[in-house]
Amino acid sequence: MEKELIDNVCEEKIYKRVYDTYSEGINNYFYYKFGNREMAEESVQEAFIKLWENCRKVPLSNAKSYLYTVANNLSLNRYKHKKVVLRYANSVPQQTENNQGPDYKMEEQEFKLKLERAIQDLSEKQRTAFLLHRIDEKSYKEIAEILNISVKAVEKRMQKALQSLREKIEAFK
Amino acid sequence: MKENYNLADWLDNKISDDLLKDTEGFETLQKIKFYSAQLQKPEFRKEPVFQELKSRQNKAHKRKFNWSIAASILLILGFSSLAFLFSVKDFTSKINSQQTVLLPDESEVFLAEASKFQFNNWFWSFDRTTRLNGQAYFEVAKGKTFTVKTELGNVKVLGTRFDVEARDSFFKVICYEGSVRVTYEKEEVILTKGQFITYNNGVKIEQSNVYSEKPSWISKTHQFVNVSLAEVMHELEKEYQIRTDISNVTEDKRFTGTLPSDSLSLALDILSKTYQMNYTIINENKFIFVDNVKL
Repeated sequence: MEKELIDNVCEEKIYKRVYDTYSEGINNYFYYKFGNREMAEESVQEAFIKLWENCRKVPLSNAKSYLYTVANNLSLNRYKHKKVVLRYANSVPQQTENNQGPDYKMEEQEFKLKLERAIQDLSEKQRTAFLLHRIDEKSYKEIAEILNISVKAVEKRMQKALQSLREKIEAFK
Repeated sequence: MKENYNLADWLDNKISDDLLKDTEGFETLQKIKFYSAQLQKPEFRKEPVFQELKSRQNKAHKRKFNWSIAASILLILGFSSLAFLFSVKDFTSKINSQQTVLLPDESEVFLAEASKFQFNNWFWSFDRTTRLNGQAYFEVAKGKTFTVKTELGNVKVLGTRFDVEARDSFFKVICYEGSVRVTYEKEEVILTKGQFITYNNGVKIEQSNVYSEKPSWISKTHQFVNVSLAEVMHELEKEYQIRTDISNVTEDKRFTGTLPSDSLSLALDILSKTYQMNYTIINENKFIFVDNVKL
C-alpha cells in the first residue's frame, strides 16, 4: 500500500514532490543551454505535462530521466536563443591575505565580467556542462545522465571548456 | 593514447593544485574555478510555473473531455438512429387479405387489403406517429396525439375510432367516435362522430355523414396466431362487449385459428371444443368457462 503510493506519479502529492525536486534543475539546464528564461520555463512545463499524461507508465524511479529525455526532445523553435546572463554572489575575495585595496576590487570586478563574457561565448555544449557543474553542483555522472552522454565525454567537455575560458579571458586583456 | 582530462579532474577536486601548478595560465584557471563557483542559479519562478502548468493540464484535460463528450454524443446519435431505423415496423397487407396490427399502447389498426402501414416501436411512447398508404381502420387508445401521415393528408386524433383511406389521389377519412382533425394540403377540417370527408385530385368532393359503427370492409373473422386463452378471451370481450371468466380452466395451450367476429355463439363453440371446456351463460353478456370433465 505504502509502496504503491510512493511509486505512483499519478498521485497529486507525489507529482508535486517530483516537481519540487527536479523542476529547477531542468529549468537551469535549459537556461544554460539557450539563455532564454521563457524557453526554460516552457521546457519545464512541457516535460511535466508529458510526465502527467504518462504517469501510469513512468515509475517514480524513472521520473527524472524521463523528464530530461522529454525536455531534450522538445523542439522549441519559436524561442530565440539569448545570451546567458549570470549573477555572482556577493562573496569574499579570492585571497584574503592579499591586498584588498580598490585596485584589487576593480580587478576582481573586471575578471568576473570577463568570465561571464567568456562563458557566454562558449559553445552550447561546453557551457551547459560547465554551468551544471559550477552552479548546480552536479557531479560529472549526473551531467552525463542529463546530457545523455558518457562521463568521459563530460570530462572532455569540461576540459575543453576550461581551456577555452582561459584562452578567451587572457585574450580579453 | 588515453586522453588525460586533468583540468576536468582538478575542477572536480579530484586532483590538487600542486599537480597542475606548471600548467599554462594556471592562475587564470584558478580564478575561473574560484569565481565560477560564486555564480548564482538563475531565477526560477517555481510556484508560478507550477500553477501555469496545472492550468494548462486542466485545459488539455478539458479539451480531451470535450472530445469524449462529442464522441459519446455521436455514438448515442448513431445508436439511436440505428435503433430508430431498426425499430420501424412495417406491415403490408396483400390483395384480398386483411391484417390487424396491435400497437404498443393497445391501439388497434385494421389494415385493409393492399395497404402499407408503418410505425416506430421504440419511440412509440414519445411519438405516436404512423404512416399509411392504402386504407386502415383505427381504434386508438387514449393518450398523446396520434397521427396518421399519408402522402395526401394527415389525420390527428387523441383517442378514437376512425378510418383512413389514402390511395393514389383519393383521400377519405371517416370518424366513428369522438373527433379527428384532418389536414389536407393547407385545409384543416375537424370531423366529429359519424362524419366523413373525401378528396380527390386535390379537390374536396364530399363531407357528409355515415351511420355504421365500423367500416363495412372489415373482415367478419378474427385471426389468432399462437395466443393464450386469456388473450383470445380478451379479444372476444372487446369484440362482443361481453365478460368472461376462465379462472377455472386448466388447459393452457396456445390458440391459433380464426374466430368469427359476427357470431358469438360460433366463436364460443370453437373455443370450447379446442380447449375441451364447457361454458355457462350467466346472463346475456357474462360467460363462465369450466373444464369439460369426462364422466
